[in-house]
Amino acid sequence: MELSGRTMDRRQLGIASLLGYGWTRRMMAADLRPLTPVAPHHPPKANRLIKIFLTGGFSHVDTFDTKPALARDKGKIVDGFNLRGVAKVPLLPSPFKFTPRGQSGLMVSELFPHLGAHADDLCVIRSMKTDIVEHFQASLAMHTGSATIPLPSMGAWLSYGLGTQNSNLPSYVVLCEHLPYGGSQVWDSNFLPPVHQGVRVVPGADPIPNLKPVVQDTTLRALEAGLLDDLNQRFSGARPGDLVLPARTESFRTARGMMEIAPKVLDFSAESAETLDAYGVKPGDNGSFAWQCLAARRLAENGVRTVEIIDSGASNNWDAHGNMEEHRPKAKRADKPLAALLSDLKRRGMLADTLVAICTEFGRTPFDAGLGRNHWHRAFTCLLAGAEVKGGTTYGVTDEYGIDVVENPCHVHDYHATILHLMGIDHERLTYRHAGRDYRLTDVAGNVVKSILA
Amino acid sequence: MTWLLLSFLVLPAATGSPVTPIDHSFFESRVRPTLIQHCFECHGQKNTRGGLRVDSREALLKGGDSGPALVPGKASESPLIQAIHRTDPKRAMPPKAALPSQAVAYLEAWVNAGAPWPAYEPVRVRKTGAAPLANPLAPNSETLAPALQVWLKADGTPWKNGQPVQLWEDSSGRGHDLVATAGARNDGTGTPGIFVAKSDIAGFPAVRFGPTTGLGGNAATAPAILGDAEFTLVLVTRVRGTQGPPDALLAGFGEPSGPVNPGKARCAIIGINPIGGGKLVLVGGFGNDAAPTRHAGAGAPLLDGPPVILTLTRAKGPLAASAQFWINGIPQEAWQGNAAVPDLARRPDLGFFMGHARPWLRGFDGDVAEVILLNRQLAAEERQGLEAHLSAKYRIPLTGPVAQKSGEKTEIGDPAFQPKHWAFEPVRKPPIPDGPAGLENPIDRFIAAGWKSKGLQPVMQADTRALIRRLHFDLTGLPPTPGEMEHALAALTPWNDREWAALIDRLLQSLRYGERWGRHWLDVARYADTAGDNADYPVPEARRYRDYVIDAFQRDMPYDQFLREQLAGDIMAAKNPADRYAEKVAATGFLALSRRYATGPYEFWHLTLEDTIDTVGQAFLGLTLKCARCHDHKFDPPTQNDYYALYGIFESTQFPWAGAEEFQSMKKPREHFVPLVPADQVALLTANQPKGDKMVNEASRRRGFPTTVPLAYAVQEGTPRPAVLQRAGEPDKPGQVIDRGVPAFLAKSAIHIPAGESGRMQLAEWLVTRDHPLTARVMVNRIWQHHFGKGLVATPNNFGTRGAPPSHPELLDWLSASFRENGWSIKAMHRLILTSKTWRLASGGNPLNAAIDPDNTFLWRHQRQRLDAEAIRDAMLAASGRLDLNRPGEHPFPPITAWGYSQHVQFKDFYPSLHRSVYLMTTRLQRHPFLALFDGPDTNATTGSRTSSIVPAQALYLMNSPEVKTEAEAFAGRVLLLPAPERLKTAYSLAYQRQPTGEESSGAESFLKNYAERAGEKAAWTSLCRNLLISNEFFHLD
Repeated sequence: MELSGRTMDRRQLGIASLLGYGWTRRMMAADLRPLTPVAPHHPPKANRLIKIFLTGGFSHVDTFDTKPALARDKGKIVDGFNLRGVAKVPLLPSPFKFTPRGQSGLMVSELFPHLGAHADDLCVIRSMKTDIVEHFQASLAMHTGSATIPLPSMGAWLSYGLGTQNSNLPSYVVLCEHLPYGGSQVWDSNFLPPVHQGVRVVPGADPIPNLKPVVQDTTLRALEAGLLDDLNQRFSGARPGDLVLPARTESFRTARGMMEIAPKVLDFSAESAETLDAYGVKPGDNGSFAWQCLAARRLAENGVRTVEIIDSGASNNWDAHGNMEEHRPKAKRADKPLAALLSDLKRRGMLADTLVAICTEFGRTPFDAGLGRNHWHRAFTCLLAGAEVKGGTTYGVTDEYGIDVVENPCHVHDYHATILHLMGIDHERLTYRHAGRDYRLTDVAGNVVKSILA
Repeated sequence: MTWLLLSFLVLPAATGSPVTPIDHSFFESRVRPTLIQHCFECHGQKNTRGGLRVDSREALLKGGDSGPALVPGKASESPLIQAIHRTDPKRAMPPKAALPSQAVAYLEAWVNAGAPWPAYEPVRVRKTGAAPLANPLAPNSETLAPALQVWLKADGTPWKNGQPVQLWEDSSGRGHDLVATAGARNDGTGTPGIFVAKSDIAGFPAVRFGPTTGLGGNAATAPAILGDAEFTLVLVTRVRGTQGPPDALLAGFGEPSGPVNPGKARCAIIGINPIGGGKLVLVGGFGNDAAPTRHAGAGAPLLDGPPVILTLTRAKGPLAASAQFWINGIPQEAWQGNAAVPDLARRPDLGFFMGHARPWLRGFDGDVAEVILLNRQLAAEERQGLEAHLSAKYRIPLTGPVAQKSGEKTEIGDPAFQPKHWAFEPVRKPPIPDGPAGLENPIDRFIAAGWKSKGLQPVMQADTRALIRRLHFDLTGLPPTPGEMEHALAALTPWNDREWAALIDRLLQSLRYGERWGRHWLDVARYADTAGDNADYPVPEARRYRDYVIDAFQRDMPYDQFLREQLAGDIMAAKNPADRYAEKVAATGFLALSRRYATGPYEFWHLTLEDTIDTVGQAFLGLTLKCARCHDHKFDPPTQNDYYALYGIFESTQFPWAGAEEFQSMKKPREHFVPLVPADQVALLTANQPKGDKMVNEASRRRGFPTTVPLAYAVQEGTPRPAVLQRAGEPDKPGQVIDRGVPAFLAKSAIHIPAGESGRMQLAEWLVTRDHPLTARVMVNRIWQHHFGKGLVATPNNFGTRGAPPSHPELLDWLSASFRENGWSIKAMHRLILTSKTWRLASGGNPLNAAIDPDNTFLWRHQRQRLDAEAIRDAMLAASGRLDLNRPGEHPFPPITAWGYSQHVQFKDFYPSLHRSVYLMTTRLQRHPFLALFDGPDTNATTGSRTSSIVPAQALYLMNSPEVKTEAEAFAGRVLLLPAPERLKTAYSLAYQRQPTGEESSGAESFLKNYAERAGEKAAWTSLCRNLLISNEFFHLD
C-alpha cells in the first residue's frame, strides 16, 4: 500500500503499527469512510468553494481589464503571435464601454451590468498566466494544475484534503450541461481515491445519474431495502472482522439518503418568488445558467465542499474568434445569475465563508485583424469573491494594451495555491504518493497571493 | 520505524516557517541541497578542509581537526550550527557569505530533530547543478552573425527527395550561394549533388556528394576570404569510403591547378586520404613559388564512420602551423608541413568551393547537412557553443571536453552508503526451507517458514465450494455454471491434489482464461481504443493488440517471447515473415498505444515518449523512469542520461499517428499504420482495391492505406538517431547528445545497436538476459498478485527504493528463478501457485493471527476480494444468461470518412455490448462509465494494481441503473421459466453458486409473497434477482 500524504493518515498508521490490531481496525474504518471531515492545515477563511468556469476563454480587455490605449492606438501594428507563429497584427479596441462601478470605482465593461453592481465584492486578478494556449490544455491546467498529463482535479484535492460536511451528498459536484474541453478528466480524481471525483450534474430532467429509483412504490422500496440489508448482513455476519463488508452495506444506506436528499436540494419549490426572480429562474426551468447558479447555492448550503459550474462546454462558448460581439449573449446569460448568487450568499450570511472563483481558460488577444480575438495566455483575468477576499480591488497589472503582465504575475498555480490557502490548506503539504513520488495540485510551483487576503 | 517516529517531530513554529515534519523529504529537499551547494566543495570527497567532511552523518559526528561538528538534538552545541550562525567571525561558515536565514533555520531544526540522515541512499553518484554544457550558439546569433560568410543548410529547403541541387542558397544573408557547375570550374565536368530528405546523418536532410559532384562560387558570390586570412569552417557531414588514391577533395578556397601548370596554382584545399581510413589532408602553399605542398593526413580517420561535426580554423600565418581542427569537439593532432602561406589573392573571384573541382581531382563521397564559414578564428567558447548547437540539432554526440564537464559537483554518498537495493541484485535461487511432510509445494515451505517466525497459525482449507468458485473467477473471471460446480464438487475431496490439478488444467485450457489474464496485462499496457489527443480519435486497429495479448496468454507464450514481441515484433517479423507475421506486428501495439496529445501530428511528442518510457519502465522493470525526464531520479539510480538513452531508442522508432483535430480541419490523413502483411502482399492487396469508388478512395486516403490492406496500430523502425537531452525536461532547452542504450546502473555493459536499427530489439534482448535482476521478479510478482490479491511486492509497478520491500524475498527469488527455468511459462507458474496449500486456505479470520499480522502479509489466510469491474459485469451477464462468449469483431465506430472530431466536438461514444468486458470499447478522455465506477483501469497510464473502492455512486448504479435493471429482468425471466420448486435454488445457484439454506428460503419466500401482493410475481422475482446480483455475496470471493 502506498501511503497517502495526509498527516492524519500517516500518524494514524504509525500509531497503528505500534499498538497493533485494535488501532488498525479504527484506522481502516476511517479509510473506508474517506469523506469524514479532516482538520485543515490552518483556520480556513472559506468552508466551501463555488467555482464558475467560463469555457472558451473570456476576453480580459473586454470585461475587467480596461485598456483605453487600444482605442487610442487602434490599428497600430504589434508583434502578435498565435498558435503557430508570429505575425504583425493591428491592435483591436474593445467594442464595449467600461464604467467605474461601486464605491471602489472598479472598471467593469457593459457586458456585466449586474455583476458590476457587486464591484465592491470582487477581487479582479488581472495578471493571470497559463502555459499552453490551447483549449484542452488550458482547461486541464485551470482544473488540475497540469496542462498536459491528466492529474486530480482541484475539487478532488479539496475533497481529499477536507472531506465533506454532508455524507448524503458528494463532496464535489460539477454542474455541467455540455462536456468541456478535456472531457471528464477535468473533474476526475485520477490517482486520488475515486470517492473524491466530481459528480456530474447534468442540468435537466435527470440531473444526477441513477438517482431516480427504479421502483416507485415506497413500500416496495422499503421491502427491497430490507431484503438487501438482510442478504448483506447475513454474509458479513458470518465473516466477523472484515470491515469492508459492513462498509459496503452502509454505502447502500448512504445512497438511499442521497436519493432522498439530493432531489430536495435540487427542488426549488421552497425558494421565494423574489429569489427565483433575482436569479432569473422561470417556472419549469431545470437547466438554465440561472438554475445552475441557484442549484450551486443550494448544494453549497447543504454541505457540498466544492460546487463547480462549467458554462457552455466545448462548443458555442466564449471562444470569440470571429467577433467580440459574440461575448454579448454569453455575458447576458451569466451576468444576472452570478450577481444574484453573490447577493443571495450575502443575504444568507454565507458569502463570508464561501469562496466564489470565476475563472476561464485564458484571455484573448488585444490585437486582431478582424473583429474577434484569438487565444491569449500571457495575460488574462480571473475573479475571486467572498471568504473575506479584499473586494473592489485589482491585483496585478498588464501593459497598456493588455498584452503582457508587467506587475505581480499570477500563474494558474498561484491562483490554485491561493484558493487552497483560503480553504485552510497549505498547497505544499497536501500531497499524495503515487507512482513513487508525492504529487500535489501545484506541482513544484505556486505562491499564495497574500495581498488580496483580508 | 525510526522514520515513523521522526515524522512526529516538527519544525518549531518559532522559525517562522510552516509546521513541517522533519522527515526523509525534509532532508532531501531542505538539508541535503544546502550541504551540497554550500559545503561540499571544501568538506566533501575531494577536499576535506580542517579534516572535516560533511557528506554523511558519521563524518559530521566524527568531525574534523577540532572535534565533532554535530551534537544530534542540540543545535546550539553543534559547531556546524554555530559556524553557520557566524557568531564567531573566525569560525563563520561558509567563509564568503552567510547562508540564507531560511537555510540556517532548516539546518538548525534538522539538528534539533536528531540530525536524521536517511540511512539508505542508493544513488551512487548524484549530479548536482545544471548541466554545464557550453551554451549553444547558433551561426546567426549576435556574436557570430558579423563573421558569418557562408551558411548552407539542407534543412528547411523546398527541395524534393532525389532532386539535383543546382543552387545551394546561402542563409547568411550575404548572397554567397554555391552553384553546381562552378564546382567544376571552367572544365565543366561537375555534376550537381542530390538532395536526400533522409540522409546518413541521423536521418536529417542533406546534400549527397559523389566523386564528380562539385559546388562553388563565382566572382559575384565569393566570400572575401583571401591570402592568409583567418577563417573557421564547420561541416556537418558523413563521409563514405573512397577507393584508392588520390585524395578526395572535401572543400577549399581559390583555384586548384594541376602540376602541369604550377604557375597558376593558388589555393588551400582540404582533402581526405583514403589510405589509412580517411585522415584529413591539407594541401596548400601554392604561392608564387608554385610549389604545391601536401601535408600528411592527421586526426581520426573519417571514412565510413558516424556523422561528424568537423571544425577547421586557421589563423594568420603558414598554413599547416596555423590550422587546427576538431572532430566532434575533440582536438585532433596537428598537421606537419612547411611554412608556406597560400596566396589566394590572385583569384579572389573563385572563393569557396566544395567537392570535385578539376577533372583530375575527384570529389568526396558523402552527405553534407550544413556548412558554416566564418571570416575569423573563433574563441574556444564560441567554437564549443557552435558545436553544441550543431550537436543538439543533428544528434551528434560531442565527446570532447565540452561534454566531459557535465556533472560538476558530485556527491559520493555516505560512508555507510549501501549501494545495494534488493531489487537490483541478481536473482539467486535460495534453498527450499525444511518443512513437515505434506508440505511438498515449495511455496508452502517458504510461507510456512514465515508463519513459524511470526508465531502465526494458518487457518483451515477453504470449503470445496468456495474453492471451486474462487478458482473459476481467478482463472476465467466467470463463475462456474451450476453444472460445472456440481461436477467439480463430485470429483473433489479435501486436499485431493490429483483432481484439483485436473480442474486447474481444465480451466487453463478454457478460452475464458486468456480473456481474464490478458486483461490483467492490458491494465499494465494502458490499453484503450482511442489515441488520447484533444479530440480522442478512435483507433479501430487497437483491438489487434488486445487480441494478441489474449491469445498470447491463452497459448502460454513464454514471457520472454511475449516481451520481445511487444517491443520489437516488427523487427522479428521482418526477419522471418513466414512465422506469425501479423501477430508479431500487432504485438508492438504495446508501444503504439502511448498517449497522444494536442491537435496535430506528433505534437508534444516528448510527452508521448515519456508515456512510452514510463510504461516500459514500470511494466518490465518495475521502475518509475519518468522522474528522470527532467532531472536525475531523486530516489532511484536512473539518471537523466539513462532516460534519454531510452528516449533515443523510441525516437528512432516510427509511431503511427491516428488522427487528431487536424485530421478533421486540415484533412491530414492518418500516418504510419503498419500493414499486417509483408510489403509484397501489400502490393497484391492494393491491386484488389475497387477502382473509381469515391467513398472507398476517400476512406483509403484517410486510412493511409487502401481499405483492402489490414492494418495494425503498431510501430516500425524509424530513422536511427541518438537523443538530445532536454534540460529540465524542456524540449526547447537542448543539452548534450546522449547515445542510445539501457539504464547504465543495471547494465553490465552497454548494448550494441547495429547501424540502421532503433535499438528496440537490443533493449528487449537485454531485458530477458539470464542475469537481469528485475524482469522475472516483476512478472512473477504480477502473477502472484492476481492470485492472492496482493503481490509479494505490494507495489507491482515500483520495485525501486520507494516501492514496498518484498514480504517474502526468498520466495520471490525462488519463484523468479523457477519461472526462467520453466521456460518463462506463465501457466506453469499458475499451476505451482494454485496447487499450493497456501492458495487453498480459507478466508476466515483468526483474532490471534490478526493481532500479529492484521494485514495478512504472511498469508495465514486467503484474502477475501471484491470482484473487479469486468468480473462484476461478466458475472451479471452470466447470471442473466445474456453473456455472448464470442470474440467480437470491429467496434461499431462510425466509418472513417465520417470522422470530423475536434477538441470542440470530441469523440465520446460508448457502445452497448453483451460481450465479455475485456472487449468493451474504452476511450481516454472519458472514462468508461461502468468500468470507472468500479475501479477499472486507467486508460492513460499503466496500472499495476487497481483500487477497490466503496462509494455511494456504486450503490446508486446497482439499485437504479437501467443496465442492472435489464440484467435483473432477464435473470428473473430465466428463473421464472422453471417449475416453482426449482426457482429459488436456481437463482441462488446462478448468483452465488450454492443452494439457499432453509432460513434463506423461507425469508425469500416471504419477501416474494409480500412483494408479489403489491406488484405481481414477475416484479417480485425481478426484485429478488436484482438484490442477489448486487449483494455482498455476489460481489465477494471467499
